[in-house]
Amino acid sequence: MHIYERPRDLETALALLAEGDWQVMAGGTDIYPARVDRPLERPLLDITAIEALHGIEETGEGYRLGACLRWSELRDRPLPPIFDGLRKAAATIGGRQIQNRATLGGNLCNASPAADGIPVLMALEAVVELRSLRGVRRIPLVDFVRGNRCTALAPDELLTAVLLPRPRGRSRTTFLKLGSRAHLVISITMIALALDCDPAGRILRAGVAVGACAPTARRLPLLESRLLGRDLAEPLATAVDTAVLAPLAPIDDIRGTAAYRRRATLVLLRRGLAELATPLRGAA
Amino acid sequence: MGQFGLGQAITRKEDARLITGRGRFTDDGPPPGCAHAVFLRSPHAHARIRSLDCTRALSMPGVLAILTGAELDAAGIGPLPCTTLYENRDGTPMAAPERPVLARERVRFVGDPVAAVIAETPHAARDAAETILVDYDPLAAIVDTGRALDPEAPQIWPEAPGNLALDWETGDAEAVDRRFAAAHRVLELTLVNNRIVVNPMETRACLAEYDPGTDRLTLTVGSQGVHGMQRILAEKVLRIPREKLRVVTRDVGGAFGMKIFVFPEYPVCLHAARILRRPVRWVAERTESFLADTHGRDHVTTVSIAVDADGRMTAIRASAIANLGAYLSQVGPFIPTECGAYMYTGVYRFEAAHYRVRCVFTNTAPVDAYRGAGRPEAAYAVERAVDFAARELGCDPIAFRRRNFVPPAAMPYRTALGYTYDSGDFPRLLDAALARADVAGFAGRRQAAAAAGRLLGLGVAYYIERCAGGSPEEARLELRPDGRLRLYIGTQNNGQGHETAYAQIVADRLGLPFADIEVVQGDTDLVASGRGTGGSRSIPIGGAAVLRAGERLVARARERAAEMLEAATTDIGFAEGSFFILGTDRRLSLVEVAAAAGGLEESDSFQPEAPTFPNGCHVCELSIDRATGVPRIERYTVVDDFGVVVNPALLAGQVHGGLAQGIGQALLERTVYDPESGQLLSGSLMDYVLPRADDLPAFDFDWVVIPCRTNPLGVKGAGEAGAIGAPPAVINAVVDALAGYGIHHVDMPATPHRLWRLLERVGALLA
Repeated sequence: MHIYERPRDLETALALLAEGDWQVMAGGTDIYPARVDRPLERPLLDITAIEALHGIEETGEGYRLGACLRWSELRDRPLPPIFDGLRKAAATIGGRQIQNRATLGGNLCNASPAADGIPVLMALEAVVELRSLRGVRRIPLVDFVRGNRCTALAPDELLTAVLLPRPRGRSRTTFLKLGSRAHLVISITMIALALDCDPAGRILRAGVAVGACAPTARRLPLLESRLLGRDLAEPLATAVDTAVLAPLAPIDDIRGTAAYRRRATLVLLRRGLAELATPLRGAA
Repeated sequence: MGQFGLGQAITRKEDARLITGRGRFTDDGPPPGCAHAVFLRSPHAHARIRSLDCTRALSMPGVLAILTGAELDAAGIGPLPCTTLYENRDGTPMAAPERPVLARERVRFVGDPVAAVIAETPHAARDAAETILVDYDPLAAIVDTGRALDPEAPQIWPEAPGNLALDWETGDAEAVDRRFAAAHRVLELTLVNNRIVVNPMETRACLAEYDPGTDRLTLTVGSQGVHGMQRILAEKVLRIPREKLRVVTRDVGGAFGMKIFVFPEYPVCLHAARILRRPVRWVAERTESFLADTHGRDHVTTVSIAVDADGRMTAIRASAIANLGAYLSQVGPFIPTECGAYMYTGVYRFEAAHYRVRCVFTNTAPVDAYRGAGRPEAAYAVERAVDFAARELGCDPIAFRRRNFVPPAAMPYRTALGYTYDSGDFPRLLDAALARADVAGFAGRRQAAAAAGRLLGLGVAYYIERCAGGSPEEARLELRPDGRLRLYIGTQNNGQGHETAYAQIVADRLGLPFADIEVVQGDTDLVASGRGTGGSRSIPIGGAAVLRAGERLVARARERAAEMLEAATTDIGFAEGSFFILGTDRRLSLVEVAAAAGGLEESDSFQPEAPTFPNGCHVCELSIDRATGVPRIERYTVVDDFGVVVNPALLAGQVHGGLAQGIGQALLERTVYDPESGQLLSGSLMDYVLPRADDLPAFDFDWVVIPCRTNPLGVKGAGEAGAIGAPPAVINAVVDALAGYGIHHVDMPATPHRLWRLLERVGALLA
């Protein structure tokens, strides 16, 4: 029996997936702690040697991010402002050693309710690319993440890329997280904002998502619609009230109560909006 | 004083070894043929064991043996002893139920070990452990300290009705009552000292080996002193002559009191090694460390202070409930009684004091020493209560402390609880700390913070602790003909830097090169005796023993030098490593004398006549985000009196580490047992929040030397100080930040969530 394969090309990986039950592994930072010192239940398919899964590419439609892109690359590379929020999220995923190994695709496929990478991508209306020998599917991230550690990925499919649509104007994004301490902590709540504005600062598109307050990260459509057409220079905080939190279903646990999560989410949303209202830097 | 003498900030001797990966910890390099032990632990907080069936597990591949309570009983292995038993206030003996090494009939906390599987690999042992069938009959559990004595609480031990292990007191209740009756005001505060999971970086581990030829066992284990471990394991648990057990401790990755004790895994592995005639090793996973290490603190205390019309505190009364967990740990009852009890007068001139503690059993991990052990609990109660009293009286807490300090002129000062403080200048340290902390500029900073939506608070705490009391320590010096010196001592480095500090004392007094001094510790075959490390005793007591042994060695060498120089001993001087005839330039080095003598060897011990009393002032400036409740320490200042300082760099390391643990307790570390199921909910580093560097400010640390009068080196001990002073300083700052909203107390840990709820309750939340 194979217990570990590390193919160099995508076709081999997809062929292996089609014929066997594999645990796909990229950075291994979620797999390892879950089974440290325990025998593996399934053989490992290490996809990090597949060149096609790496890198960031600008395309006609927007950006294509390889599934094996490491968070430290997102954190450190010079990238346009549309990546500001993702860069901030990248800096909070575990510690720096984790960021050096953990990948974009791994964070999405692990689908923790507290995954730090998901809200920003959701706010950016990211689409995931899933491949198998049967073909290619592209589905919105919102539909890909179905529940606590549950995704739309079929057993023979590999998440190969995350696609970000080209912004409809100048893109401004941010990410804020509240935890019991500053870093290396599971979030109590986190918010992501992605606003596309025209040159005058009018909001053409608003993406808002919240993590750690429901089985999956959730978008806030009411707040998004309230922000549409408003001017970035206006006091946008007034758009944030408890009504916009309707899609959330936070729980009480030892990190905080549901009431605290709701209230802190409102605070972070207002702070995020205030942050984005500061003068634009460059164009996306 | 030379380059490597006392008072120099010498880089640690051990660092090159440790930071280049050449340290050797317990689990490093297991011997060939080593078997692995895995422990099956109770998943229930409280249950009867109906049956235990290991049949299937014994047939699993790679399994060598399975040990349960029955096998240990058959082998004559005794229970784990508690060595500190007391009488109740009424003179009756305390409840002292025995703790079997492996649970029989009943389990009493989640993590209680039930069986051990020894196998060829850890995987095989773990797989087999999962197939052991234990039929549990779950019982109701009690985990809450404050509710353990309730009549309706589930009962854990028949020998401890009401879950009461010990009802103990000290002080003069009547004198206190009189002063309370005559008081102008009486202020009372109830506070929780939260339970702490110790979390050393290196989890507990052991390696047991047996030599059939000599019928001798060797235990390699992370300890705080091999001799105590040897004595208890051999004589009380394994019931073999002490010399049949050698205990070895290599490098230790943090201990904090917890690694002093004999834990169940050690005798089980030793017995397994004996019956299998193979080395047996065990290392705790982090989860096991959470479940099955001893925890710290966990008190609920009510403190009352009587104040006269002039704002002078006349009497203090403290009544605590101390959670001992499910079993009496090795010195569990000592911590909330004799270890901390006599510190409930702090640095103040109380005329009378009384302290009572009721120690209770609960379905939780046993509680024992943790950095400070009883003294942080006392300091927290006193320094919070004094701060609270000042505020209730409308006084400035700083001025109120100053008015009530024991004045330097009163030293040596006998406290109302019977300790004699040999030295100390509390007003001087307070002033120094206030100046460093720029308390004069605080009002301006508070205003600026308010404008930014943050509440800024200033907290002061003045702690004092008792160190270095009690047992003697022995040091042996062996100066070899080649000039290399070996120091044998029974204290144990756990990361503090003993190899450096002891070598400094020797280099300073004997004038030998620092590099030629080797410290030998952690082996019962090499070191004759020792009481181990704990309670900041190593340098005050061990250091004094080293000093005395050094003096003896010089005296012996002086006689020899006199012969060699053909002069009278009284005409021989000694300085900077050389003997000389007074008034001449004829000299001989100590090493030359040793070479001529074929080596020199001397030992001596030091028995302290009195404990030492290090003390210091902590000033914490902390802000709270009015929208999220997130606290942030903006400044932290400490000025300590540790007496004479051996090595400022080691000292700063001790203080910084203690502060991190104290601030962790005050703001972050929360141990949560589910009140219904008794499960440990904060059982991993994902859920139990340890402080990281970015949660802490840059510490401003300074010290004032007021030499200890009862210690030959003049040192007072510094190992625990940071962890004692920080919790009250931080919480006093939190309360100061919230004082404008009528908040009088906040229990630890002051997490963002807890502070947010308070802000919400008093209507101080900012949108």
